[in-house]
Amino acid sequence: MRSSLRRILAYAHYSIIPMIKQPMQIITLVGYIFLPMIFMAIFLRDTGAIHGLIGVLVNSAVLSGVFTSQDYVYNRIYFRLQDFLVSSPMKSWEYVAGVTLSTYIIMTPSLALSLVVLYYFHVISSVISLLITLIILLVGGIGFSFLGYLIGTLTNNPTTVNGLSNILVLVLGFLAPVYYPMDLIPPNYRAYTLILPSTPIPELLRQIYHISETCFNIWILGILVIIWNILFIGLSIKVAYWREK
Amino acid sequence: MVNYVVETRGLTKVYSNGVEALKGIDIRIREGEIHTLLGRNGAGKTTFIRIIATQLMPTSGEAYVYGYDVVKEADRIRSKVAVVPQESKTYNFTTPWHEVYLAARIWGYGRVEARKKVEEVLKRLELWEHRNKLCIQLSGGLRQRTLLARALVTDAELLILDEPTIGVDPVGRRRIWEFIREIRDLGKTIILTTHYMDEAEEISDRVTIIDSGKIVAEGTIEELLSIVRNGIKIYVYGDDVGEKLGNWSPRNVDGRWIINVSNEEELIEAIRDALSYGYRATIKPPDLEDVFINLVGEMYEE
Repeated sequence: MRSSLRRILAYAHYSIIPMIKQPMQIITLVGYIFLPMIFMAIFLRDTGAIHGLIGVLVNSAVLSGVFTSQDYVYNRIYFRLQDFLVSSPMKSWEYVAGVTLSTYIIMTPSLALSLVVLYYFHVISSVISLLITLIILLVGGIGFSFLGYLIGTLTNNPTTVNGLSNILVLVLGFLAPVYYPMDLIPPNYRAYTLILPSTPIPELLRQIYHISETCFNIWILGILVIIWNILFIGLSIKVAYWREK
Repeated sequence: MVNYVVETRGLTKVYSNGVEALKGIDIRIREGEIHTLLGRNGAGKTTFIRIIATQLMPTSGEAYVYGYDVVKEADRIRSKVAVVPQESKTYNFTTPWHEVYLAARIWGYGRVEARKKVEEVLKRLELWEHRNKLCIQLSGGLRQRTLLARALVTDAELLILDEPTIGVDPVGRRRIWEFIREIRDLGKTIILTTHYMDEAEEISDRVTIIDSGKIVAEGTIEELLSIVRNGIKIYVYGDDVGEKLGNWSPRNVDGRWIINVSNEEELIEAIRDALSYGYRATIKPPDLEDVFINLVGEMYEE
């Protein structure tokens, strides 16, 4: 276990070096994630800012997993790093954990900032509330990281994976009710948005913070998050390969 | 007693698109030698080494590395092998230090020990002064050397280098050859693939020539050269060589004419003929390229 942890940390450390060497990239990334929230704050004032911050949380901790697909494809096709790692003592799950951890580290500034501001607005008012938030984000994040791994495995072209992951995040993170509350969607259409895997997570957080006016059951939302996770993890295990067949 | 690091019997690989990359490879690679797989692009070299490096499953046959089955005991092999994959690259915005440190940590070294190992290897490969430069700022040769260092720091007993000098300038290639020889002298076994004849001839202890998924020949350089022992080549430069020296059946290759002779008498006579027409002529002893062309056919040269 210790050597596994060492390999995961080593990969995560290695993987974030390019970002550390280009700090402007991190600033751009944080700005990109906060931008919709700023518009929400301009048009809907405090309420808009709070909903926008939930969007920041979900985009930072959950949907960033989709972008890991780019790491997998570039490492396999362009850098040939995966071949090097396959022939090493590293296991496939350690690699996935390393990639995911590095993404979390890169997303830490936006994640921390939004948590602090939500605390300032008294949306997250207790340690329990904070813990529940982190658990939901972690569970959602694991599922989406596997989605990233799945896309990364099924895509052999770096150009395709760039386009695909960006379109997915655009749909799942920006068009879907992540930054804005589901209340803004006409009541008849709200249930349909739950078909998207990214929607139950922010709605669950809004229900927990008591800032949602929809009447979805909190347990059903939780079960939806778990179902999506099982689906993504199951498909990844079935389809993804470490050693080429 | 000879210890074999790699042994394969009837190894085949058929890809899902139907391409038959290996057609029954039987090979034995000895411990402590530089063993080169020589062949054209697409000959099956990379497929072979990807199988023994446990990156790719074979279709049929047997392959053992240090006695372990590549299919069933891949994990045991992976701690003994380090690879520089074909056309592998460093990240642009990492440094040689980080590239090599990653490998040291993955192979299980603690922080302090890993730092020591990285320093030692970077110094050995003359990368120490470049250790903190971004890889994007390094020359192709230095980047390739970084990848070599990444494999070397692992202390793996078997290094597998797939086209290690591709895209490197002639001076850089020679430095890499020196390093490969040094690594061999440390007691490591090295398997490398190349399609450069001079590279294979310069650094190999043994060479296996592969073509179209089959082994065409295997042996030391001397043993392979004995195949064309009498194949002396004369290069003739000038106009109308084909016409005037037609009785010697010269072949035009890349603008120069090549005459093959098999003994000293013929050699002297052919040179005398060439000089009598005022042509410039040079003699070249047989080399691996001649062996290769002799075995694989003229297609490569053409």
